[in-house]
Amino acid sequence: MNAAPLDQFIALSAVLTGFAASDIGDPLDPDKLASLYFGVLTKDIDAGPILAAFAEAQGDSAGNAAALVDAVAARICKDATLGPLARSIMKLWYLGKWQDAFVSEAAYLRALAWPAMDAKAIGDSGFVNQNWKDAPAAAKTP
Amino acid sequence: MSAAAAPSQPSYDVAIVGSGIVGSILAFKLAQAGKRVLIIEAGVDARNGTRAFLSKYRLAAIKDPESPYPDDNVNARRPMTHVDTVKLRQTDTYWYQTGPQPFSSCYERMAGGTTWHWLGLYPRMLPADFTLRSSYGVGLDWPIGYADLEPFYRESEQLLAVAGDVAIQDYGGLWFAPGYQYPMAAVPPSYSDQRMQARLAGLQIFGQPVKLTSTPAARTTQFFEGRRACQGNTSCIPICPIQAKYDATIHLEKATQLGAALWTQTVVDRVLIDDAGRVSGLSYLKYARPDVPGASDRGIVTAKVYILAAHAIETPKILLNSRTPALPGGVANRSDQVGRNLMDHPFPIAWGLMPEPLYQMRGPRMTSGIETLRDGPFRKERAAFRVDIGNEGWTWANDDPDTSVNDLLKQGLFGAQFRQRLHDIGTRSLRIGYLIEQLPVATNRVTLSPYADRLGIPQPQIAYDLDDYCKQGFVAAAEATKRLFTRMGVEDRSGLFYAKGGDPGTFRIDDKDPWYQFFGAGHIVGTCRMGTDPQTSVVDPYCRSHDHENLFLCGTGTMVTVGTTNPTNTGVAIALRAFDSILKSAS
Repeated sequence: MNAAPLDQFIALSAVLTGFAASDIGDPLDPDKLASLYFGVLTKDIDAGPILAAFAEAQGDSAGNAAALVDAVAARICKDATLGPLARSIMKLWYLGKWQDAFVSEAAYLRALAWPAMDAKAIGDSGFVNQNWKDAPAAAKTP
Repeated sequence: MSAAAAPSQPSYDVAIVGSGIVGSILAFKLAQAGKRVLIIEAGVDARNGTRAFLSKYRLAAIKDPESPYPDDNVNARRPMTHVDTVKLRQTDTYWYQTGPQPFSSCYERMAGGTTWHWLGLYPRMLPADFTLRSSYGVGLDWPIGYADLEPFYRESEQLLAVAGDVAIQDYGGLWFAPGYQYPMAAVPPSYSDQRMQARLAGLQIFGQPVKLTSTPAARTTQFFEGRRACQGNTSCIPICPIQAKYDATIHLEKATQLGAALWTQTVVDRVLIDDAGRVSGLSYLKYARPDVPGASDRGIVTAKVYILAAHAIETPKILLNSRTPALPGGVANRSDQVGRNLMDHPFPIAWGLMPEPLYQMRGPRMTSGIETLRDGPFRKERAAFRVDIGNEGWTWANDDPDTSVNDLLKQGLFGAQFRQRLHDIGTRSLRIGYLIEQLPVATNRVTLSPYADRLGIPQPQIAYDLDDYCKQGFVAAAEATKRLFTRMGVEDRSGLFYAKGGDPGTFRIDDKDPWYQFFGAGHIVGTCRMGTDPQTSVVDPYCRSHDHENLFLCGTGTMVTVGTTNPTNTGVAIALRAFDSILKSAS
């Protein structure tokens, strides 16, 4: 059961960010960002209530992805207490920031804002030429 | 070392103050010629710092030009973007600004100088930039013309292995020696540049065709001397992670390998003049640790020839601080022009959303500019400008991705909808800016402030304003922006430079709205200008002080006017033109 809260955090993060759990989950991530972010979050905050609300949203939606989004909106994003926490989780993923500071160098470099904009972090190329004269090969609307 | 009297035999042939691009290149060439060279640098030896600086930059909440570099040097402070460049009459700043406008540019004090954080663009000035007075009746003519400098522009571009294309620079009367080619192929224009150009095809503004062309850049486009080709990290300002962007540590390293001595953490406070009017030595203070205030040692170093290459603010500061009863205005200052005529390119920006994706944030920070508006008969009436086309999306202009992410969160968006909206903004965002020409004005001036740094050296004081000629350039730039944005179908998000009154760096014309806002371009120029008349200029056309035969002042400070061009190539070319005179004096 120990892994379950992290898995639930990843599942919730996927709904909040619009990126697939398989794109943000830990197993093949050398920076272990999901574990890092869950650790940062739970160091300051009791994640129990938001994960419980997410479990209820999962129950409401019975495996239907669109219904899950609606349930997360109703139970979490529009909730006066859980809504701000959900937005903090989105900032963790999209900016790599917790309380306005970057969690780590990797958190900045791998912030989801960059792939969401079909870009890469300013100050990084991954030692791969960015071939800026053409549209990015990966350019696609999500 | 001690403060003992200077030895009778000079220790060095040439002592150079400043290890930035001009000091390091001159040191390299002098060492190559077999001269005994000393380079004195106020800041720390940063030559192997790139990896640590890169981490500091990535973790910095505000990614301004100084963000990668050490903050803890209390003995050789440097101006800071959000402090010194915006605050007037505040004593917590490095320099003291009396206004009325803030001088908004900054520089580094460390080995390699400000090339650590420069953009790396390397264009030439236009022929007419040297003849503003005779061509347009404004400003001043230089004592030299484009033709005098052209061979040294070439040498400068060869030394830095500049990437550029002669054939596309067919504007403003610019010319090159027959058969000349840049050392490297031009930086390819970004996809964004190409999409903008496609929409701008056929447009004329102020009677000139509008065309985006690749800007010459000191940026590798092929593997060169151990440096990879540029990979588009997009952080040229403030740090290139792979040194594809040239920085002066390259020539500093070459100079020291040839035997030049480098003293870092050594601040020159005074130039000493003997009874014959020659420089007899440089007074300096050394500090053992950057984070512990105060000097650990002081002394005097001697050479046959002395070069100040400490940028257009620190160089006049040293000269003015060298005043004596015999030279009450300071060293090299018979003309009273030392520190005067401070210029920059006031830089207004506009940003918006293109109707189609541009996919920025993948190439160098800037690949193309619009060069055709840099010269014309309009210069009788108002400032010209060079148009700078960003590749960094809204990361600088709007502090993105943070601002857009926070805006979308405030709208209550999440999930796929949020991601889609961020994609829509991020792929379509663009920013343009204008390097607006500024004329030499005597009251735009570096002097000594009443405040001393931790070594007891007076900190600079700056008085700065924009004149009407320059402000009329903003009016034209606003008009150009409207034409460009309308033609491209860009949805403006910036208010076209129109700022709230009272913000730093804002003004109105004749007390009428709108407010215009400008930033600094980091192009610090003009405080030791060259000329043939010792009554109106500081150095001769070979950078030699009119007053002191063995003193040379090299760098962008010697420029008579700033034109519309990023000035580094010109500053280096002027110094290269002085090289033979320096060498002869040192022999």
